[in-house]
Amino acid sequence: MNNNKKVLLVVEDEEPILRVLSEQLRSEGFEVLEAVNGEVGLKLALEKHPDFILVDLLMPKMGGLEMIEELREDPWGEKAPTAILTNLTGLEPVSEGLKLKTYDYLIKSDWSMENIIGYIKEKLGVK
Amino acid sequence: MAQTDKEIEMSQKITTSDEKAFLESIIENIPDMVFVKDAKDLKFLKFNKAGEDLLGYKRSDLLGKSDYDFFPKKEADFFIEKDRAVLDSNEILDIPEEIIKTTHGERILHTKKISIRNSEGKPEYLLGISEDITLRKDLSKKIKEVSEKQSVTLGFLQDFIENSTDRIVFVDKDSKVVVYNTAYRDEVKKIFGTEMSTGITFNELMGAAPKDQIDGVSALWKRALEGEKFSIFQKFGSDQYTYNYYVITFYPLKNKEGQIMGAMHVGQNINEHKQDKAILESLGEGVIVTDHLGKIMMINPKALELIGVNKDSELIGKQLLESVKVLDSKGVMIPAETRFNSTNSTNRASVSNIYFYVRKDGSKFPAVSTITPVKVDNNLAGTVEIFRDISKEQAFEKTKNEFLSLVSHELRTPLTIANWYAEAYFKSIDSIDLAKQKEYVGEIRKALEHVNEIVGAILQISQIELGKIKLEKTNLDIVALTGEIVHGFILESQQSGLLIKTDFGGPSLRCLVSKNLFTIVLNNLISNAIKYSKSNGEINIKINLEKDSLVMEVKDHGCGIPEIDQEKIFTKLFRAENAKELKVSGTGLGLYITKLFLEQVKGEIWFSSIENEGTTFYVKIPISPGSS
Repeated sequence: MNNNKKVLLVVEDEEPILRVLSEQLRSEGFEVLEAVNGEVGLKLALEKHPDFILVDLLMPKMGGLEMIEELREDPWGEKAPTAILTNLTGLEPVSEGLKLKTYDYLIKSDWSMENIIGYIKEKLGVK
Repeated sequence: MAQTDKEIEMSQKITTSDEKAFLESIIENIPDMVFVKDAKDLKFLKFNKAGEDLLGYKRSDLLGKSDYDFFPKKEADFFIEKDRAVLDSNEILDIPEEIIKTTHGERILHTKKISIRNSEGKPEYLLGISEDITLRKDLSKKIKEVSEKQSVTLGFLQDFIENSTDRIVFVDKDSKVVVYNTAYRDEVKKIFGTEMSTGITFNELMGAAPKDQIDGVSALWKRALEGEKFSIFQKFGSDQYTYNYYVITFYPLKNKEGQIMGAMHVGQNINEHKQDKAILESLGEGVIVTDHLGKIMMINPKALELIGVNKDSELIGKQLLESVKVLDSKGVMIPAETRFNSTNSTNRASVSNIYFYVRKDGSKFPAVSTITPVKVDNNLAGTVEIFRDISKEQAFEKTKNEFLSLVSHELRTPLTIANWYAEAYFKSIDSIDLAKQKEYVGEIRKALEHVNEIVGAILQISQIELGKIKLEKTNLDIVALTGEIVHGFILESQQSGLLIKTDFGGPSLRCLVSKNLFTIVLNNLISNAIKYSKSNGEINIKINLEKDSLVMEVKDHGCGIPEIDQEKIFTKLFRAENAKELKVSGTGLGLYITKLFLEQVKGEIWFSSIENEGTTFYVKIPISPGSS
């Protein structure tokens, strides 16, 4: 439809969550790429260079932290804007990453989809 | 004796009148009482100043009076009788002690009396000289009293030292034994086989002991002889099995001028506290006692077990810091001041910390370590270190935290789903897309059901862990009960086109087993089998009696469990990766709960699985009486 559409990548293994979030993001005018684990997510990210990446932590095959780690090895992926979107709290490696400001950390149950959309728009500088 | 020229010259200088005044002056100023009585009636003719002071009367009151005017008749008679005797004889009468009553109380006098005769040899006067010896008398009386008391004190001390069960010995400046008590003598005989005697040296006395012990003892006496008072832990004995442990206090002995005359020590044999020793031996905590030099004196069996050492002889006498290493959480060795708690200013104040103890093989374990300095008279005599392995507690704590973290994650996921679908539903409320709205509400409902399942499972776990679920055995009709349980799954199994087959090895099967337990185990296994089966397959349930056990087998033809996940299958909240991909809901708690239940009755659960072919779970429940 529109070549100026911002592209988002959502990496999430819980199908109902992936479904409703993608649907709402699309209705706000984003193009959404979906991945059900870190492995697929990493592949899509490096291939499509999305404008923003939302990634869950606990996923089969490859978890979110591992995916981000590999992503940062890539010249493009190094600076790709990324946020962790999870319900898992109290993990030590996460707080380390937060200190280095390599990503933001959003707790799903604390964020409504409306807030998430607002947050992404702000990050991408769209209205 | 011839008079010197000087004396002759002096006496010639004195004239008769001069001579009288001169003599008067001498008599007047003599510190003793001088009196002269008339030989005829024994009335006073003369009194000097000292006489006035002593008797408390003025000279004018005394002159011309007799003893009867001043003293009771009885005393006066006595004095007069003595006077007559003096006048009759020509000798000096010496009365070493006579008591007279004066105006200022009783005085004791030493009196000498002599008759003064005229040229015809007849007694004309009686001269008396009395020295007031009251003070001197008092003093010597007091001296006598004090010395009597001192001999009592000394006697008491001697008895005390002799009868003390502590080992007491005194040495002179050259470290030679001066005094010792029976307890000391017996101990020396017992440990070193030496007969004690005065003048013996410690080299001679400790002949049988190792040289380093003898040198150590000599060094301790040297300290005491240099004026230091201190206490130590010390062990003596010829081999490790006959070691005796002592708390010994050394004292320098000084005279009034502060010069050191010798030294003493008081030793208490702490091996005699057998009960304490037995307690130490049986304690569930490691105990290490070190002496004032930081050397290990005592180590109990638990401590040996914890650090992986077989015999205490490997460690006794070694430096604690080097032989039982303790690290902080960063792996840095705990310094001596901390280890011995020696900077602690208060007596007997313990300090507890969590440290990592290094075993003999180099591995480490966390322990709560309590270190108490043993101080005697504010001198560090040694340290008692007590430590308890807390690896189990820490592992439990870690598991608990992980569990909480994972449970909250598991609960938040369906809550997020419910929340976000409700949000989507509200957004769509004005549209007429009823199918969409139905989908949203359906998801909300599923999510809430899932929350309910998780909460139920968590409650069940806590009830098992608290022992609240009763697993009483009753005579169960296994065939009928299994039929009921399978019937409960009929809808689910039909939806997936699954057929559940049962096999009891015969028409009926009864045994004594808990109904609760059987139901929970079979429910969980069937539920799992359905979830992870491929459509249109079979689930086979086999239940048999085998010796004293009920054996259950639930076989599915589903996705199987990947080899790498097989060992994690009974842990809380674990779901195999391929299971998640199947998009079936699960709390991740079912198998964990099943295993917990079976553990309560000493039952067992295991499985065999091939990925993509299926899994068979096996359960064994003991049914014989008294086996659970």
